[in-house]
Amino acid sequence: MELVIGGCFQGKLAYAEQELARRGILAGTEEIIEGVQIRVALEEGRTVRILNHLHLWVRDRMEAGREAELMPGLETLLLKYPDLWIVCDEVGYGVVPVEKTERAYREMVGRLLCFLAQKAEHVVRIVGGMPMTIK
Amino acid sequence: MLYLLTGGCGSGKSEYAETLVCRLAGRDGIGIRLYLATMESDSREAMERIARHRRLRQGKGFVTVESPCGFRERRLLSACCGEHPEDTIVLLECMSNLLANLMFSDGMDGEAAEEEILAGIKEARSRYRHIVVVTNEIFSDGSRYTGEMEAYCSALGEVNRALAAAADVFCEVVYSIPVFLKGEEACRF
Repeated sequence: MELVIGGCFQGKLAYAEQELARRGILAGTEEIIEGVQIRVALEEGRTVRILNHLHLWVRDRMEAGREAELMPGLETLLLKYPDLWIVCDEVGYGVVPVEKTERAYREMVGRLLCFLAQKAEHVVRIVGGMPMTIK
Repeated sequence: MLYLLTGGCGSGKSEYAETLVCRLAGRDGIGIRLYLATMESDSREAMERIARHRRLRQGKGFVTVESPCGFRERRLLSACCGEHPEDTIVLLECMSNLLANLMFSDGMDGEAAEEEILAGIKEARSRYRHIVVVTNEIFSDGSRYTGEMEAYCSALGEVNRALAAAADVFCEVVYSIPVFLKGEEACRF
């Protein structure tokens, strides 16, 4: 699994797609798995999936009161697709919000990313479109 | 040595800090690990956070000192490490709470709070073997703050910059991955 993180509008998805294209794998269709919209990139005989906007999935699930599904959902996805690319905004870099749900959301995104970063083959942080491999 | 660790919310910086203290203690054969807890348990949520941190620290050999004003209670800290401050590592967790306590509970202005914090760390540095300070990245939410919130953010920014300049090691923990800005060689074990 590959993890791509960074602020919003930094070119994270573009980086993932460029990297895959460089390896001859081109982004194609989209599908919904475990309630997540996933981009499917295809190569002859090989399919690679990109889970874009992990943080939005977290927000949707938490707003629906279904946060207990997040970690098991991620684990299922990783078992099914060990070469998954995951793209996520860094959302915990601001003043602690006044609303409790907002605090819980940031905390949850952080904890999930810690879990994923430990499992990932590489962790790449994108700033201004430039990749910095931190793992 | 002075170690400054920063990171966003939920980045795993506390866990990294505790692991760092344990490794330093093992490498240098240091006996006493003081944990300066700055968070005040004034709400259910704060109590839950404190409980979670206690669970994470369990079995790592820390003596916890409730210390909302950081190094101000010098006698209390001295009592904890007895005659052997040079055989002590102090972990201060965390700077954003300490500053908030000084500014909002104690009513100090940003400049005075900053001065007290930096003087406290300077003094502690001459006394203890290692000091590990955890701080917080709160500066990138794109919002505009006014009044006391702006003063707080500005003071924390100043404190972080002064400590980073003075520290032997400065590291951002990014979702459990340490990214060193300074002094990485001191954290190789």
